[in-house]
Amino acid sequence: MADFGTFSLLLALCLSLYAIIASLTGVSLGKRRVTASGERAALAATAAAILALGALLYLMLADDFATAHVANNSSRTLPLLYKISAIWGGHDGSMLLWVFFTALLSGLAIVQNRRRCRDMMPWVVVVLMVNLAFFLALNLFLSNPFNQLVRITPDGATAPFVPADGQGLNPLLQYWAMVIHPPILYLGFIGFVVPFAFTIAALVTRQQGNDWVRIVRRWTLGTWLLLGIGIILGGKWAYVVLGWGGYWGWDPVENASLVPWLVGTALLHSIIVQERRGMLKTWNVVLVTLTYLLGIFGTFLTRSGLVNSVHAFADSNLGRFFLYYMAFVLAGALLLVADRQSFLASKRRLDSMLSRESAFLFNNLVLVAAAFAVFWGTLFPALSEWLRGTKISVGPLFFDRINIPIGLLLLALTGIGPLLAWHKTSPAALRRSFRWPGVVALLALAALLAGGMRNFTVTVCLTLCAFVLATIVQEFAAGAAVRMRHRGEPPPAALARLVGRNPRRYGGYIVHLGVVIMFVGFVGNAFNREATLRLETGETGRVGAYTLRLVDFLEGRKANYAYGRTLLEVTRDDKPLCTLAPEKRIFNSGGQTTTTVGLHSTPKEDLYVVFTGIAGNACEIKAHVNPLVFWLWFGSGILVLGTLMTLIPGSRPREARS
Amino acid sequence: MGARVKFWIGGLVIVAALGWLAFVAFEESKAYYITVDEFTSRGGDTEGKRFKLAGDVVAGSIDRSRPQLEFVIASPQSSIRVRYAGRDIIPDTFREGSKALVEGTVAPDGVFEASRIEAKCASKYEAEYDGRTS
Amino acid sequence: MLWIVYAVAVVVAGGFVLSPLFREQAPAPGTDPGGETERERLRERKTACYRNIKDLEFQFQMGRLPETDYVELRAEHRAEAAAILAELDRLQAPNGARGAGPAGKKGRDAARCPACGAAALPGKKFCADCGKRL
Repeated sequence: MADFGTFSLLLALCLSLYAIIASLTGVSLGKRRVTASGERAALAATAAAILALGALLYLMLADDFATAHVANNSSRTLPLLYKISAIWGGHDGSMLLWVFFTALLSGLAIVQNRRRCRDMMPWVVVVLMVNLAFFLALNLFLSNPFNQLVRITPDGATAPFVPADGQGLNPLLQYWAMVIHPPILYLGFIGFVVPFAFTIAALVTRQQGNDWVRIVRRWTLGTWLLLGIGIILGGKWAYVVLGWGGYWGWDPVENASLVPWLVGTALLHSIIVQERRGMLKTWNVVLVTLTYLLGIFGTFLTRSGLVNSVHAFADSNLGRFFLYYMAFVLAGALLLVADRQSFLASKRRLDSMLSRESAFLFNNLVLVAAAFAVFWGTLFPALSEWLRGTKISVGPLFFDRINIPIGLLLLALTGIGPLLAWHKTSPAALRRSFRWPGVVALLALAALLAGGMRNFTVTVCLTLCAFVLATIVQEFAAGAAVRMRHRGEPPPAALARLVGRNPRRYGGYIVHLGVVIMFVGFVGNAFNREATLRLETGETGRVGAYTLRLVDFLEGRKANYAYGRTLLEVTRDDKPLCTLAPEKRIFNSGGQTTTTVGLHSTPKEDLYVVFTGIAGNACEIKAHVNPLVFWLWFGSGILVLGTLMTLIPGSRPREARS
Repeated sequence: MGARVKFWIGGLVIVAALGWLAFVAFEESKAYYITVDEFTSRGGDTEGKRFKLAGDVVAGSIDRSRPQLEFVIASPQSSIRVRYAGRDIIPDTFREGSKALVEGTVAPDGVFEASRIEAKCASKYEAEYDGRTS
Repeated sequence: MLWIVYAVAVVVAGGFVLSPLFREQAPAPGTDPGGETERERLRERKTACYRNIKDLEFQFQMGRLPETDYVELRAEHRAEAAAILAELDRLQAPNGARGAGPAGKKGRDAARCPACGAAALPGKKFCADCGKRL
C-alpha cells in the first residue's frame, strides 16, 4: 500500500505536468481539444492525489508500522479519530494533506467554472497545475510520507524494520481543536491559489467584464473565512491545551497565519472598489498575488525553521526550493502586471477625501501596514542575521506596540467608512449620518470616565466600539426606514427584506459587528491579573475577587500517563462558586507533560487555573483572572456567521424597468 | 489640491507615524538571539542588553523550591543559571532536556532573569527513532 | 500483483486524459457556437447593472448620495444597461444566426467599443463604459 501511495503521487505529478504542457500547447495552436485534454489531466491529477491520501489513511488505520510516518505518529491504542488526525501529526503527512487539499480545490475550481470561463480555463489550469506540481515534487522527493523504516544490519546492509508498536501521537495534539485546526488552516492558506489563478488568467486573456472579479471575490472570501477559523481554533488550543494563560503570543507560526489573513482582509475591501467603481485594479492584482505567496510562506516558515531555530536555516533544502518558487511566482506576476498596464488602467480617479473610496484606500493602507509590521517583526531575526551577522529578535512588546494603534485606526475606519457615500459626500449628509453615532460615542466616553476608567487605550477602544456599534445599528435602522417609507412595509418585514435583498452588504456589517465584539475581548487583556499560589491541603489563596482552597491532591496512573490532580474549591465574595480540578499529566512515552486547565468562564471574566507542579510540600497553582475573553470567542462566532451571509447570492432585482 | 494628493499626504503621515512607532518599539524590545556559548564568549558585554538565549534545559536542574522557578540551560560548551520572572505560565513543552528559548536580561547577581520562556513548539514534534528511512 | 494495479491506473488515467484528442475537432477556444456563453455573460452583466441601479436608488433614499451625483450616476448605469440589452437583443433576435456568417460577425464588431471592448449602443458617439469616442 505504501508503494501504491508513492505511485499515486508520481502519477499525479506526471498528470499535472502533462496538464501544463497540454494547456500551453492547446492555447498556442488554438486547438480546443488539446486544452480539453489538459483540463482532464488536471482532474485526473486531483483523483490521483485523493488516492495518495487514501493510501496513507489505509496505512494509518491498518497500523502499518513499517511506514516511518505511521510508526512515528500513531500507535495501536490510539483512538480512531486520532489515528486519522495522525496523518497530519507529523511533517511528511501534513505535506501530503497540503497536496491533497491543493489538488481538491484546484479540481473544484476547474469543474465549477470550466463552462462559463472557457477562454480563461487553459491559463487557470496552467497556474493551478504549476502550483500543484511544485508541492507534489516537494512531497515526493523531499518529504515522502510513504518512506519505509529500515535498520542497518551488522554487515552494513539495510533491512526492513517493523517496530512492534508506534510512538503514538503527541499528546498535545490529542484535542478536538487540534484535529480540525491544521486542515482548516491549510484550506485557508491553499484556497488563495484559485483567486491567483483566475487573476493571472484574466490578465493574460484580457478579460472584459467582472466575471472573474466575482470568482476572485467568492474564493477569497471562503478562503479568508477558513483561515480566520483556523487562527481562532489555534488560539483556543493555545488557551485551553497549552495552558500558558493566553491565546495569542505573537509566535512566528501564529504570525505566519495572521499576515495572509490581514492582506486578504485588505483584498476583500479593495475588490469592492474595483467591482463598484472600476478602480484599484493593479493594486488588487498585487494583493491577490501577495495573499497567495504569503499563504505559501506560512507553510514555508513552519517547515523551514527559518526563525524558530538559531543559525540552522541556511542548509535547509526545502527552504531553498520554497524561496526559488516564490521568487519565480512574484517575478512572473509583476512582469505580467507591467505588460498589462493599459488593461489595468482605471476609468475613474479618486475625487474626494470624504468618499467611500478613500475610506477603503485608508483601510487598505492600514491593513497592509499591519501585515508588513507583523511580517517584518517575524522575519527580523533572519533578516538581521543575513544583513549584519547578528540575529536580533523582537518580542511581543513590539507587536503589541505597533498593532494596538493600527487596530484602533481600523476600528475607527470600520465605523466611518459605511457612513460615507461613493464618489463624494456632501457636508450636510455627513453631519446627518454622523450625528447619532457621535452622540452614542460621547455618551460611552462620559460613562467610561465617570466609571473611573483611566486607561487611555482602553477608553479609546471602547468609545470606538460604541461608535461603530451605533453606525451598524443606524445602517440597519435607516435602511429599514427607507423600505417602510417607500413600500409601506412593517418594521420586521422591512428589516428582513432589507437584509435578504443585499446579504452581501448587511452580512458585511454583521462581520463588522463581530469584529467590534472581538475588540471588547481584546480590551480585557489590559486588566489581566495573576497570582502564583503555593498551597498545602486545606490552605487558601486569593486572586482578584476569588478565594481558592486546596481540598485535595490526587495522584494516579492511567493506561498511558500518570497524573497529579488538585481539587480546588472556589468562592467569590464568600459565596461558593465552583470546584476546579486542574491536572498535570506525564505521558509514558517520551515524558511529555500536558496540562488540563481548570476554567470557570463567564461573560465578565475567566478564572483560569493551572497546576504547575509540586514545590516542597505544597502544590504550585498559577491562577489567572482574564476579563472578557468570552467575548473574543463570541465575536469570532458572529464574524463567521456574517461571512457566511455575504456568501449567499443576493436575490435578483426585477428587470422590468430600463 | 486634488484628492489624490491629499490621500498621499494622509497616507504618508500615517505610515511615518507607524514607522516611528515601530522604531521605538523595536529599540525597546529587541533582543540578541544567540546560543548560550555565544553569550558566555561575550564576556562582560552584557550590561543593559536584552538577550534571547537558546539552549537545552539541563536534566535535574529545574528547581521549584525557590520563590521563582530556576533552572540551568546549556549549549555544548557552557551553561547559565536562569530565573523565571515572567507572568505567563510556562508551556508544557518546557521540561528537562527540551530545547528552550529564554528572553530577558542579566540580573545583578549574575543569574539570567527571563521574562519569557519558549520551548520547542508542538507542531515541530518529531519522533525520536534512530532508524533511518529509505 | 501491484504492477497490474499500476497498469490499470495508468491506462484508465491515460484514456480519460487523451480521449478528447481523438474526438472531432472541437471549436477553437474563443469561438462560441450559438453565442450561448456570450449571452449568459451578458445576462449576468445585466443583473449586476440592475443591482447597481437599485443600490444607487437606495443609497440616495438613505441620504448617502447628493442628488447631482445620483442623477449623473444613474444615467451612466442606465446607459450601460441599455447597451447590454441592445447587445442581448441583437444576439437573440436572428435565431438562425448559429455559426454567424461574415455579416453577423461584422455587425458584432461594430457594436463594440474599440478601446475597452464593452458593448456599445449603435448610433452612440461615445462608449458608455469608458467614455472614448467611437
